[in-house]
Amino acid sequence: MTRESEISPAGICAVIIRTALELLRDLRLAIFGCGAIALFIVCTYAGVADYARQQREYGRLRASALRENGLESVSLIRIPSRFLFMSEGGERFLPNVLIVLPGYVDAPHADVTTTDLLPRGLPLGWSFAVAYLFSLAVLISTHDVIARQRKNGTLRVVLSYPVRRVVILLGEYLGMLVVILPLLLVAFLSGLIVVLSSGQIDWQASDWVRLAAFVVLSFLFLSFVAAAGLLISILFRDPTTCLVVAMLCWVIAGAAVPALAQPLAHLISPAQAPREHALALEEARSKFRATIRVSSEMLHPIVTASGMSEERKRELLVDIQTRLVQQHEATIQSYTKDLMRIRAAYLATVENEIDLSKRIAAASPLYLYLSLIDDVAGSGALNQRFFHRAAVEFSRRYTPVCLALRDQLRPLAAVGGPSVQEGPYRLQGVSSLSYEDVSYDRRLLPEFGGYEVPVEAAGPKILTGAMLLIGLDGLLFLIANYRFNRYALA
Amino acid sequence: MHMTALWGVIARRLQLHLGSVTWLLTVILIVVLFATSARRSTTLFDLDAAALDADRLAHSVESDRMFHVYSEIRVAVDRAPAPLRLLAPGLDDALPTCATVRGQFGPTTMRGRQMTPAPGPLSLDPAQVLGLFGSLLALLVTCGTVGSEREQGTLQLVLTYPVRRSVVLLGEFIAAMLLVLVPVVLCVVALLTVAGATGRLVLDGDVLTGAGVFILTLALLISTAAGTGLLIASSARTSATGLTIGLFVWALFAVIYPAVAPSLSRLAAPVDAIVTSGSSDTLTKYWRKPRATTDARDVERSLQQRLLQADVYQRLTYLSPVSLYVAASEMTAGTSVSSYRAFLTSIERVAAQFSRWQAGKLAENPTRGTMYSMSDPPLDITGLPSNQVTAVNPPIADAASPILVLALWNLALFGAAHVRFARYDPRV
Repeated sequence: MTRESEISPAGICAVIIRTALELLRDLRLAIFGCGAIALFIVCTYAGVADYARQQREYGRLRASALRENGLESVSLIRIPSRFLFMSEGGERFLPNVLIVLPGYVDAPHADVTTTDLLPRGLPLGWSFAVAYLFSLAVLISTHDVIARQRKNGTLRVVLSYPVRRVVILLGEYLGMLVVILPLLLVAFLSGLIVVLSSGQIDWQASDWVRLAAFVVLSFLFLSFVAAAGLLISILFRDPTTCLVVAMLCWVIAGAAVPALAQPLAHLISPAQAPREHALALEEARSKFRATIRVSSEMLHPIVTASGMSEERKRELLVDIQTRLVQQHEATIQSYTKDLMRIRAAYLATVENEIDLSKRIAAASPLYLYLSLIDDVAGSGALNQRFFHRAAVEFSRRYTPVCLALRDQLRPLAAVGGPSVQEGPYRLQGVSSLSYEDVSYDRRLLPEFGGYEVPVEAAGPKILTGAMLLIGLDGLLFLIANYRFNRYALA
Repeated sequence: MHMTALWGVIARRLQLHLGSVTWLLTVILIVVLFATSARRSTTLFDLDAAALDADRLAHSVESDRMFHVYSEIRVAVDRAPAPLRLLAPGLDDALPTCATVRGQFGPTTMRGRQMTPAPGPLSLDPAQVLGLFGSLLALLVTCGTVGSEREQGTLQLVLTYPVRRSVVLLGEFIAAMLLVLVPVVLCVVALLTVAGATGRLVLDGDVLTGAGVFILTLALLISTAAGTGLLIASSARTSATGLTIGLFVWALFAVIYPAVAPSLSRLAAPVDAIVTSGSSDTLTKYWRKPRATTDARDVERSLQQRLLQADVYQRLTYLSPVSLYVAASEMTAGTSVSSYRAFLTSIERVAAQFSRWQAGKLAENPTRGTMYSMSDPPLDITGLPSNQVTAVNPPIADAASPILVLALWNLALFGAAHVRFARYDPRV
């Protein structure tokens, strides 16, 4: 009896080796594991190709934005994350342009005329391969370890060894991990070879940290899946039931919870409908228009005067425009503030809903893992956040310079000419003069120097996430142990 | 005797599964997910319908205005929300729903009435929920059947009955269809009834035909899954092996492949990004005069590329019955790319009409294009094409080819299952 109560390293090792060999002999792991590794490599190729394309696109968009940028507004283009092959993080669906107006950074929504005519789907990458394919492989090969041994009678033999049940369970679990780790490492190394030999990615020293974090988090996630498999194999006695329950868990974590996340988030804190937002903006605009109205009697004699040169007409119109802008400065400013307030409130509700739906989706460990890897890769929402931060920083430098230049160049600004949009005659753009055709030294405007998502940015979240995953691992193991101690062999 | 034996097999199967936790849990999962996605779908439908009304009101106010010059006149083409988008919203939210045609005085602009601001990480339509989990349930109730009967020794007994093996297989199939199709079709009927009762849908001939075709497609998908399940069951020696293979096949064809296929078509047919800083959704619009920041040719090229990408995707769907079913249901509902093409065609028709009208009027009054003087008489707008609403009649004929392919999948699977089962060794 005394021997039974002690935890001998040799005993554990024996169980570990036995489980590992059992798993390696299992055809399911061989098939699913090899399949997952092959798909992992395919995902790497897809990710690298995608990055190369995004990079080209970025260059093109940036060149075209540089041509357009000026005193009116500046379009900034998001830099694609270098680690797209690790995780794309839904970057595709976030706006790749931020528009800096003096005093405001605007995030446009995807234009309806440029959205893909496809379902969203899941972006290919390492995190996808691990979250969906490796988890499936691990779950398929671990969900019935105990139930199967009970069924074919080996459990009776194993439990007759002079070791405590916790040792056997720990051995089983560690045996799984011993098999999973090389599987993961093989996939990851072959992926790394593909990445490095492609020559597309400019490799930096800090990237090794990202890779290490990726491997550690993936291992923790897969060991969580293994613990879940172990627990299922103890909770249900029949291997078939184990399989069905395991698959249902996989489906719930991989598809059902994320599918429920958005509707739930919308229920709790709904984003403003885009239409309502557009109506609010339009209302502010028409209110403004009603305050400052240029009567056509003022403009008509100038526009239709014969014998007056076009230049003279323009000068007179500039005079009227300038006078109006001076006269209504307060109104224009409050209009500007109104627009910014409406816009910012709308964007905040949208962001709230997205954030909330992500938090709900992270109730599924699979999505928790995916969001952690997004941060490790510095892609997706994290990249967007740094992009936005850089744009705000840029706006702080741009606004005073832009406003000073505008003051200086006001006499040269175009008035937009009279238009007949709303009634007989009206000056276009009373709120601002157009500087599009004014020539000035563009080097006076500050330049957007780009930005980088540092590794440390994800640090706290990764640490918390890793602790959470370890905690979940431990919790599942403890429950499994509790149940296993009461496991009846009959 | 045949009928009695058939009923015997069916009744046994039903009795076995109706009380099982697996069946109950999956059905509960289906109902919960269906209700959630149907709720979301209904909310979006209401927003869309309200937006159509508001758009039409705005357009009619606009057309009642006094026009001074021909460049002020625009014609709008609105796309009415397809009734069955309640079941399969498809691309409806992502597509433009309102086009403003300016003829000679500017490019046609498009806008969406309802861009959902926050699509979830993975959103499922009601139709997708039914297809995804309906096929899962069909596999769950079929994959282990033959194996478990063999393990328990009952298979030998069943096969001693004086009926052919194909009758036994048919019984298993009918039982599976009853177990899956009844709850799934009830979901569809419930949604349509609620939509009809609340006045969202007028259940006329078109809608009912569309719903009928949708249910047929769904039934074909479920029977494909049941056929796959029976093929696997009659190839596997034990129920555990059968279920493992079945669930893996399901994960591959219903979850992984549909999730990956869009990414594959994005890789195969990339679309060039265009800067849309001048898009209607930014504040710049409210400050400066609209200017074309993007070349019309770029926009046109992007449209062509996106249509090509959608075609590639359409072809990729043929590889998985679940994707095929989703594509077919979207075609039936009128929310697929083909209905977008129909919308584009009707815009082109209106634009051509309008340009002809403009050209005629400008030939009569060359000076009234953009310039107005106080002494001008009112503008002559006789014969102006009216603002239009294009109703999206479900182009059901489009759905014929995916439905046919699904039927072929069925035939092949049942043929194979029949052959395998005929040679199955029932010994324990």
